[in-house]
Amino acid sequence: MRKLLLGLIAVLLFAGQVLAQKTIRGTVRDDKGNPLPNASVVVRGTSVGATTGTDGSYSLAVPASATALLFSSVGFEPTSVDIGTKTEVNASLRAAATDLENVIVTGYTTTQKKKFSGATVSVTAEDVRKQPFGSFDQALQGKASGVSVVANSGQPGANAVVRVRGNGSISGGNVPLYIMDGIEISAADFASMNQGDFDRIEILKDAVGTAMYGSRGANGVIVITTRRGRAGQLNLNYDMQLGYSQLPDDRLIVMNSAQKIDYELRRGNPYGWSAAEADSLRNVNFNWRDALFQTGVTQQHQLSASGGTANSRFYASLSYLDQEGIVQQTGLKRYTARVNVDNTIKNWRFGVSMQVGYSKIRGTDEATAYIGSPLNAIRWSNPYERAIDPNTGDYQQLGGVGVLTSGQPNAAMELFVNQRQTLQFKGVGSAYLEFHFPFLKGLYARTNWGGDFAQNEGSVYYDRTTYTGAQAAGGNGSLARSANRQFRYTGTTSLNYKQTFGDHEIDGGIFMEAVKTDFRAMGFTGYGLTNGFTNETGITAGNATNGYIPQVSGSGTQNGLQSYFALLNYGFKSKYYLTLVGRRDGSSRLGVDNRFQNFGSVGATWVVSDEGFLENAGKLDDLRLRASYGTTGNYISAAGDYGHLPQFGRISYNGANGWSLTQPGNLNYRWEVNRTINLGVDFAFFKRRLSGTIEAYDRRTNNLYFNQPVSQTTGFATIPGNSGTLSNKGIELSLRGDIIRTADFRWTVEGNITYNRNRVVSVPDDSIINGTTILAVGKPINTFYLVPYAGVNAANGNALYLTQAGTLTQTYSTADLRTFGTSDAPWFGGLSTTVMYKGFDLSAQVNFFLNRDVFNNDMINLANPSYLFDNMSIELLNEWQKPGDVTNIPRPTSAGGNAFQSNTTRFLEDGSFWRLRNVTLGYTVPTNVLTKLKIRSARIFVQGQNWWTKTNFRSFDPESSSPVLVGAQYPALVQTTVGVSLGF
Amino acid sequence: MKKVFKHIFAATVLAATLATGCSKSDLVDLKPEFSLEALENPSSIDQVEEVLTAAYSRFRSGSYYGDGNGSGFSLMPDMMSDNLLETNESLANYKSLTDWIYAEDDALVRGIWAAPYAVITNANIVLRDIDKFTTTDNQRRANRIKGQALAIRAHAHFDLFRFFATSYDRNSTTILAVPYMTEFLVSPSVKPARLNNKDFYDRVIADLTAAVGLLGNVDATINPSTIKRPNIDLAGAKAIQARVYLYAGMYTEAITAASDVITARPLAPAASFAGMYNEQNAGEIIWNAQFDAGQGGPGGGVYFSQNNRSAYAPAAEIATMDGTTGLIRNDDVRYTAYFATIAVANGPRLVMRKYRGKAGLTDGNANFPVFRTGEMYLIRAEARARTSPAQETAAMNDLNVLRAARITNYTNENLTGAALLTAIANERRRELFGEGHRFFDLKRTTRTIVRAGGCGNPSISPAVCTLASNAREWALPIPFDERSVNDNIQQNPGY
Repeated sequence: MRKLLLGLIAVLLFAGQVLAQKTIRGTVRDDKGNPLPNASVVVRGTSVGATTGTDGSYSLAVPASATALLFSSVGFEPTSVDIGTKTEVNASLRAAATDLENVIVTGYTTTQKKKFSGATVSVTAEDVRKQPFGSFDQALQGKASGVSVVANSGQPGANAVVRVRGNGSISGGNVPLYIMDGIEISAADFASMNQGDFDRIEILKDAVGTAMYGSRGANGVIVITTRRGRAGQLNLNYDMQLGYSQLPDDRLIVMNSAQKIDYELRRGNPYGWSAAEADSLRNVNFNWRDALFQTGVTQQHQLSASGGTANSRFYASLSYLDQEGIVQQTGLKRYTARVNVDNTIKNWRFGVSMQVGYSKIRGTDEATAYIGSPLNAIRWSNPYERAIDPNTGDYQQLGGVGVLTSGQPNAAMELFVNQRQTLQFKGVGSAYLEFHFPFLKGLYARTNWGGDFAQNEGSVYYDRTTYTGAQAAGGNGSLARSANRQFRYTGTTSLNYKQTFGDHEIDGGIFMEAVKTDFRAMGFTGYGLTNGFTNETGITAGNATNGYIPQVSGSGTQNGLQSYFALLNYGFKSKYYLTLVGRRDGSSRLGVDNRFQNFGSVGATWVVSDEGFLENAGKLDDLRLRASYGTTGNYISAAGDYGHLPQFGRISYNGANGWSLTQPGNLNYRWEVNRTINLGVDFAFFKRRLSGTIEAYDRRTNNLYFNQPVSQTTGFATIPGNSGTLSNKGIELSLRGDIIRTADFRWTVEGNITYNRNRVVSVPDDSIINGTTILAVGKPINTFYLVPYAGVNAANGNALYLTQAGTLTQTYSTADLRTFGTSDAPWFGGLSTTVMYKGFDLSAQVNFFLNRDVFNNDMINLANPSYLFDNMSIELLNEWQKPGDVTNIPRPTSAGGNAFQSNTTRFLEDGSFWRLRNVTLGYTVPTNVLTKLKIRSARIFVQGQNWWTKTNFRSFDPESSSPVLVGAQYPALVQTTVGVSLGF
Repeated sequence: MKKVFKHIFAATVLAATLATGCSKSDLVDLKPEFSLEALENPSSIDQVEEVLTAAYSRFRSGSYYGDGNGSGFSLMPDMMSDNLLETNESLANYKSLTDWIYAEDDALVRGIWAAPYAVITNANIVLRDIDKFTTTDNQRRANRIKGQALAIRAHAHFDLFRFFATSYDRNSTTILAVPYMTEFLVSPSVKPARLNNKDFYDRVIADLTAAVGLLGNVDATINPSTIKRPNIDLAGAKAIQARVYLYAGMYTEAITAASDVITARPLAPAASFAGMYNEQNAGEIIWNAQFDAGQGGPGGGVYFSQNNRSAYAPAAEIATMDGTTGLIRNDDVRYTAYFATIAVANGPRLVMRKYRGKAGLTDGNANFPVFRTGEMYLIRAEARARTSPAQETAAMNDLNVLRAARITNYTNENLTGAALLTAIANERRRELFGEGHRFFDLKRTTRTIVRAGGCGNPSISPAVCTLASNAREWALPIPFDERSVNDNIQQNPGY
């Protein structure tokens, strides 16, 4: 860290030494005539430069040899003005429609948006930067059409589940490819990355963009560019946020003490409470939720600097995030540093990007139905039991070591006495070297190499006084440490050419690429933690008598990709554009004969609005039609790195090593290939005050990775294979309107909505049932397959089901299973609005996911009459009790064919929701005040995340990607923060 | 121009260096480093023996002898019978089996179907490759490996048969057993049909006969340890034979096989009886499936000793806390070996302690005794009693010898006819409690279960429940997903 700081300081000092012979003054204004502060003024061909003041004026000592000044500013098109003999040089900069609207960064190329025929979305980096998520992907929700972002967990730092244009794979992965500054980064460990450094986030959705990535492109590509330095005066920024997080509303209501005791008494008093005991317990009403949850404090600080000269520019930052979770003991602490440097030396360009992040993540067990998970215990623990015994002040353990009377672990002990944390180090670095051939303008060679390194050190300590600790070998607690590291390098070397010949424009390149990933993991679990130490010192050496024999494990894997590809953009008359992509990928993950495969795409754009016949179309400013077709592969195969090979895994029996066949293999394993057709229209009307994009796509996955079920008499349930077809078709609409646009007052409304229709076209075995879902031709994946629940027979209290014929029956039969909806919302999107008045701005974003169902297993665990010994849903107070009772809850007894059945629609719930994702109220301090304070910029704001959610789903949070809410849900945080941004 | 060429040269050299720095062998031709690829392996007799070790390890599956997925062949047959009854402490994980409410989509049934075939697959790899590495010098070693693989294959198939066949009739050509897998092949084209009982028994008996032949001529003692018998030796193969012959009604053969085993492994003296369950001595164990440290054990689904959770408790007709009523009483060496009275918040209750742990530990890490000599006495007694009245005396003698070894101050009884058979059945219930027999014994004999002590969870289920002799539940359904990929396999009647 210290070395890094020294480096940072050295870079900071490097910017700004100049020699001067002549002084030039002037003022820079925008196209409306307003002075433009912070604009950069640089002597062309040198590093000599200055920045304009708040009144737009500058003063610059220039060398005698200076011929022209280069003016630039963020959001404006740069311009060059000749100096001649003048001593006053004024400039007027024309507003660029923002950077985002202008270009598309694909990771390999940067293209003017106008010329690009692919379907892409740019997410405003400011919107991502400002949201205090431990993992930046969560901030993408609702920001981009066609991109579904669902948080599975509110654990600070937890990744979201991101899907671009639906789930394209059944057995393989559906995670998009993440590219940062030209190299592949893992779609994980975002907890150790600072989104404050992000400059652009581009999401490539169709084959024009994704085919460049060949076998890695099928699930979409998310291209992140980090902030680069700009020539000019040194800018120093400080951003800070401080706030708190809270628990969302709980819609799954459990019984209170009196209700639970009365219910137990009605059910035969299984604990045998005396009347006096029952009376006393009725008044306890201990709130397990309050005992385990908290209001978490969040604070975030970032210091960043940028600057440099025309030939050498840098950006550097330091950040700190401390986010406490809403579950006590949980949270994320993160430290990051970044340095980005770009240099130009004659015809050479050279740059480096480096980020290091270190984080400490303290979590708790999630998404399980395990009784040892504290988040389950708050549901299941009886409200008449307590975390702490009021008489002794110690944890209540009336049922034995670490457990309550009910036999449930005391959740407070599990959470407070046991410890669980991960230390994560992540370094992402890349460097490029570019050479522009002097003899042919537009021809250059470039090589870009980088590495993504992540190391995790996890530890789980179970104290011997807890339920889980008592289960450890030898019964006296355990300490598990695990360490893994992953290193991936990406190297891309290319020869590029870009030139215009009259009406013809050419921009293209040939590329070679190598990507290799190496993963290693190891771990141990030690036992017998009896001396009070919670680290290795506590571990007792094992023997057969004490049972503390430690467990040691390790694993590792590698994969590699070797690729050659070519890209070509051709433009004619600035109206017709053609994009061609061809790529050949060789991968270690496939069967020997199928390792190399070709991918490619073709796309075309027609700028209709530039045609003569539309010249007088009046209100129409822009109209572009786009079409593309191409193929991509899905590199996240279902079989893992070596799944094509049959393999023996090491296994031990009676103290001897053996080889057990663990993978059946498939030597013909091939890529799963996506074929995408995309049609797009971009339009802008009324001086661009109304603009938008409509995309229609047809994404078809062929050769599906399909773990083909085989007869279990073979010793295996499935073998890896390729067969079947899956279709995702959809329409995406994004609209943006500047409803009011005056100097002082602006009101903007934006929105996007996506409809994605997922269908299984063919699979080798139709109708494969997987728990509560079915994979059936003609239906979306994750389609629920359940017996319709039809209430209760008032005469005898038996549960009723609907047969296939539509008649009522008391007999549960798998013959009556039917298909229902899916958990993957076909409709989703986001609506946002921003109002700006003078220095004030107010924005709000509402996201929605509609028409989705979720199977509520959390509810089952509170409704299964067998679990009478633990707390239950208040729904059970309405149980059928005597003939004539009209209710929806059957009698609890199973005799007479009334066994409790879980695979029914009784537990299928509407998982749709609307959510106020973000509200921000900000104030930007005006320039005249700033001048007095001698600071460049200042803004304060207050924002809220997830303040409001509308749903009928019975849980803390409807937001989950899994078809089943298993249990132990760590809900998404409801956050409020106050922020300050200062620029010096 | 010279400068231009200099630049081009520099760039070309750079590009070439970077491009060739990563060759195809670095990137594309990668091999696993943490597993053994199975295309060229096993490539020695050592490796073949290591695959045999893996076949044994697969018996630890949570659906086979281990816990966590129903303990299909260790404790489930007791949990599904009248031996062990669900308590209020249960987490209801095994309800579908123990309440007999399974349908063809039951996940536990699926596990019970799959686990033995996972064992068989590894045995079949051994049998495929062993002859390749057999020479005149290592013939006896090869016999040792091959004999065990054949015995394992027969045993695992027979276990499947016990659950999935509707009856154990030796000679029926209409009753369906299970597919008998003799070849290693994992492919969608594998769609075996169920053999009929007669053909199935023929296969089992043939494998066992071959195993016995091979294991009689081996290079080394298969079970040298004095505290455990992890592998199937000659006595083990004969013990499997004895059990199969009893089910098949081939009593003469059963008597011969059981007698051979009894000679090889006499009954354990009372003093060392309990030590067989906590790895203190091998006693009369013929074969016990090993669970090493960290590998769990068979008993967690019934009594999870780590947290003192008794999800299934011994029925009152088996044993009680005071030890003066029920089949096993406190004058019986089996009482303290099998049961213990341990308190919970509600007070003390009797739990099954058999698999609490090794030595003095209570971490649930225990081995599972697949065969013991006690069973051999009972097989021989039943086979003799069923053969002819002339052999009833010998049968009664077997019973008396066994009881005398277990019960303090036992005085011999003299029973005949139905009373003798009932006494043998009761003794089986005592001796083999918690060792995976009761459901199959009832299926083999009376085909009726009467749970006098209640059914399912006592607070919500009937006080008495029965499984009638004509109930479909006597045979587990062939799992739905097997049927969906294998159209040659026939479902059991009633499902």
